[in-house]
Amino acid sequence: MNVALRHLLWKDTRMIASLATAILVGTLVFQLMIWFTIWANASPSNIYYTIALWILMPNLMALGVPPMLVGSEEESGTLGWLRSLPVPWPLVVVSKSLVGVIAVGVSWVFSSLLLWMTISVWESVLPLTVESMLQSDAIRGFAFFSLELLFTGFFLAYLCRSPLRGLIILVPTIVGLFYAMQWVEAWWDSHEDPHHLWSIGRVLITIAYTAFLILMPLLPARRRLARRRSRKSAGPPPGLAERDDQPYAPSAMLGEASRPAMWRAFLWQAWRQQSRPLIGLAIVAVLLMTAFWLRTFLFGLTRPWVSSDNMPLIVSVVLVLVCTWMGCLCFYPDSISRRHFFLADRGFPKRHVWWSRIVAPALAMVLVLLLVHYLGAGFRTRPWQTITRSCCLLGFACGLLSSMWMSRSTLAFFVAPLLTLAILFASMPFLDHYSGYLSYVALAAIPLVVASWRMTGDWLKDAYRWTTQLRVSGYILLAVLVVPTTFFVVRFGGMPRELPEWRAEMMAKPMPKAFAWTSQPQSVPTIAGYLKPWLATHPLPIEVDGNLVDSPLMLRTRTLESLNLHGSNNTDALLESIQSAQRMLEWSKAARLAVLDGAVRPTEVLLYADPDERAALNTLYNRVLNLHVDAETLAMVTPAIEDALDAMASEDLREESWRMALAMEWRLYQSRRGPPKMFAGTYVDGGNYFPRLERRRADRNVDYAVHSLLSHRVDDGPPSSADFYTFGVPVDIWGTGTDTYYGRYEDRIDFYVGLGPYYKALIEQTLQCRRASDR
Amino acid sequence: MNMATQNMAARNSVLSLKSVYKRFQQTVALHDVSLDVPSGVVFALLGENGAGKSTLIKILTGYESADYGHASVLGRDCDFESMEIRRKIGYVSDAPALYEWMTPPEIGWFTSAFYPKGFLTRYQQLLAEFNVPAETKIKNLSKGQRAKVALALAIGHDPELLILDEPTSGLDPMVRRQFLESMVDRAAVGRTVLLSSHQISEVERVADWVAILHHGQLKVVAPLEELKTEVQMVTATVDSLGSVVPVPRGEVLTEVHTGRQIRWIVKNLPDDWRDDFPPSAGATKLSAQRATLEEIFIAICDDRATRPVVEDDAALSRPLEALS
Repeated sequence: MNVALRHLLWKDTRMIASLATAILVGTLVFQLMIWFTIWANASPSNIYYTIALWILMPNLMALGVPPMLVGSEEESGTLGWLRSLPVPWPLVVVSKSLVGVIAVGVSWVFSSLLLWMTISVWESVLPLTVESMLQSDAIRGFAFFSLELLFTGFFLAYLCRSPLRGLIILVPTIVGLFYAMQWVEAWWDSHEDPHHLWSIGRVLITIAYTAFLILMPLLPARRRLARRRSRKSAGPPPGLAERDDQPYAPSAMLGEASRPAMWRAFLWQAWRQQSRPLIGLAIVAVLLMTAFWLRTFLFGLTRPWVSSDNMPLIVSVVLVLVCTWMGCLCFYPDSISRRHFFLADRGFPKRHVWWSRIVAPALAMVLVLLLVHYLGAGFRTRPWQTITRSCCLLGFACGLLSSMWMSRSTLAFFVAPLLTLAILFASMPFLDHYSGYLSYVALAAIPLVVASWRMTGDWLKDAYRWTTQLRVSGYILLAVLVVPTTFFVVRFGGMPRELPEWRAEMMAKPMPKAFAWTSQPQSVPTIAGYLKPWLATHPLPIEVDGNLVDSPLMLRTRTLESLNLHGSNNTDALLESIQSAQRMLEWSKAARLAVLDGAVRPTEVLLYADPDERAALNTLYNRVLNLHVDAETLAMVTPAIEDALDAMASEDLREESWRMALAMEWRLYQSRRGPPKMFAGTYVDGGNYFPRLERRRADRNVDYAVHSLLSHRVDDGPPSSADFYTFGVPVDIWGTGTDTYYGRYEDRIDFYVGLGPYYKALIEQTLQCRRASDR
Repeated sequence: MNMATQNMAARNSVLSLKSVYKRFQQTVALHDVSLDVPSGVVFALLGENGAGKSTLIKILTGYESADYGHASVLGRDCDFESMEIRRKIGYVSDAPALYEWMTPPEIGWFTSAFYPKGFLTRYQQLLAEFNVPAETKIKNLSKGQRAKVALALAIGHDPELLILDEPTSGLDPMVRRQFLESMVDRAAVGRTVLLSSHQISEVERVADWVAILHHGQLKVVAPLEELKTEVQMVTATVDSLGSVVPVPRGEVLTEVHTGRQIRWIVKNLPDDWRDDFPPSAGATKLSAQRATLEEIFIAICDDRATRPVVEDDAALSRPLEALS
């Protein structure tokens, strides 16, 4: 190999050594954290973290190498010194490109090795559901994306003098390229290739595009590394222009009259050096969120490709990255070439320096948080919005600290995301059990911000000793620990008080005679099984095989199908539909009676009888309200509707059965052993961390919830101060449904039992009105 | 500069500029600069800040190209053979940016790849002479030690021409002396040193030739001794303030009044200059002595200086151009 190239390669490798070390060590540490999580809890979802890490870390390397090799060299002036040596500029480009490709390649190999180890070691406990991502086509796609990221990064790094500007432009560029390529792929796949020519064309275009990607950086590199040519004049230029002859005359704005106060001066100076990149990042966030909002606004959330794609994840990641870099901008402009000495030399107050650097980036971050809040409908769920906001706050704090911490200023832009990732990965063991946990990661920002405040003196003096590093490490550890500590303190601190008297009353409450055997779950028939004889005499409008009958959920599903199957204009169909509703009301009533006898599990009422009753009434109501049903038809089906309504359980039966079911379920709950413990078919203890405490907390919450419900009128709905985490899935338990529109839609206790009679009253009123109007 | 000297310089020149113009937007950096630097000399390029010295060096080293005119170094065109020029010359900028994470031996090893064999040996000898610690990273070296590393890197390949842009600014007297001695040593073995500086006292100690740039224009190019011989400082004490005395003959570059004393910097002062100041002229205590380079420099570059124009002497109306 050429000696010059060899030496350049050595130099470039050394230049990215710190970045490469940070990424490779980060990969290993994160992987160890995943292993620990799998070891603690072998949940299938953990495999996704491994896959995410496998893809993310090499791409972080691809993102970081160009600014480190080009931008930071330009910033430190060494690129200028290199230009003074007799080195051909293409050799410099080749060296940097080779080092970049090798670094990304090594990162891929290392990351893949760890993935392979994870899969090999944990294969038995983790059902592998990500085979499609490990196919050769997918791997080639990932590798190509890294290549694209690397060379686009090189192109922008040579093009922009500032490494930061290159990075900011790179984010929207690469997102745009990614989607453009996906669009091209989709277009290609949607067209037939009768002569098999397109596949050849596809290969050729891929080769051409790859060559273009690799050669693309040469153009700006020549401009940056080779001599600056100016166009030669044909003749000598005209005489001397005025030079240095202008008298010194500052603008009126900068005169004595407008002499700024110290705060104003600091804010002005900070804004001048931060404004451009901050505005750039803010524009990226605004454009991204606007596009994201428009997409939801134009197409809605019901389209399959909108509801199931990974856009919310991409948007979240980009926004967190944007906020992280906004944090980096706090002290980065002062750290370039140690400009902060200007502040230190003049003995400016630490407080002024710190606050003035925080204000503008913090406001920009608040803008991002507001965008997430107001334009975040595309995130599909409110918790996701909250998590995105939390991660944005955390990223900002990580950027803030890194911009002070890193002696090589550009490195902060890569260390900050790694630090954010590290703190997020530390949350991983808790995520499976505590769905609200991730919202708490914003708390980790507090120690990091405090750390940056405490470091300001050392930063100004550039006096980083090992004690400083130790202090920073301590603050980071504190940031990692503060999240679970606060979470569990809040979780256990917020436990409802004990209700000993009420418990004693409940334990003494008489239960139906048959209740004793309902406490042995295996021996208790399901309600469908229990109602088999009844079903024999009250056939459902559709054929139900034996297996379906054994499942109340399937029974209801099929009956609902039957309800909705028939058209509403035809009298016969209408009658069949009404009869189906009647059947459901009948079996719901039968279920209630069975519960009062203690013959079936109380959950049958809580989970099925109540919702079925409501579904049936809802169907009847829709039929009656339908104005296409003419008066004559309505008159014909009115007796059937009235029969159906009569079949419904009485108010007393409904309330009594519901209260009894709740009391029975509470009594059964007392006899259950966890973890995990269930109440009315839902897990109520968050996980296996601190199991004794979790059980006590779950017990108290169940007591409190049941006590509140039984003290309320059933028509009032749930108590207002419900604990969201009691039943694992936030809000779901109360059946509001708003946050689970696209989430898990499971059967849950329907505490809105008052809606059934409400519908019944409505139907009766509507019938009367229509009769009156017909007369 | 006399004609013979001029011809000699042109004949043996290691670098040559012919009517070079360079402009950055509205700012004129160089205006009609023509220059020949003879070989084997220490050639000092003087000028105030922003005079165009660094631009001239950038054109010579091929980092910038002239808007008009021709520049060559060691017989090679700066526009088209910059790589060859860089191979032959050594260059130290005013603030050399070196890889701070490397140690001095590492940066020498790295740089040796771009020069012929022998670079590394000479470089290491120089570092030993300069007493630079080997195992300390460049970021931990003092400013003087960094400057020594930069100089060693620039002369490790024994270049025919060494270009130094403000090499001693910010260095302590000891390091400065070492720098200057090394330049004289190089000239002594037939190498050429182009030194850009405004440390005039230093230049005066080592330079063989001097060029003064002012507002992008070359005002003076001459051997230092010749310049100092030709330019004299005439001092006269007048009887009373406000007395009018005649201006000495020759090319008066500046006139300075300090109380009752008047000083003129005059080029080509005739031997019989005292005859112009009879007792009736009101001037007493007349004296003439060789001007220092600093006095010459200020006389040429000070925009606020008084330059008396003698109507019957056309030469005096263009004193600066006359010098070149």
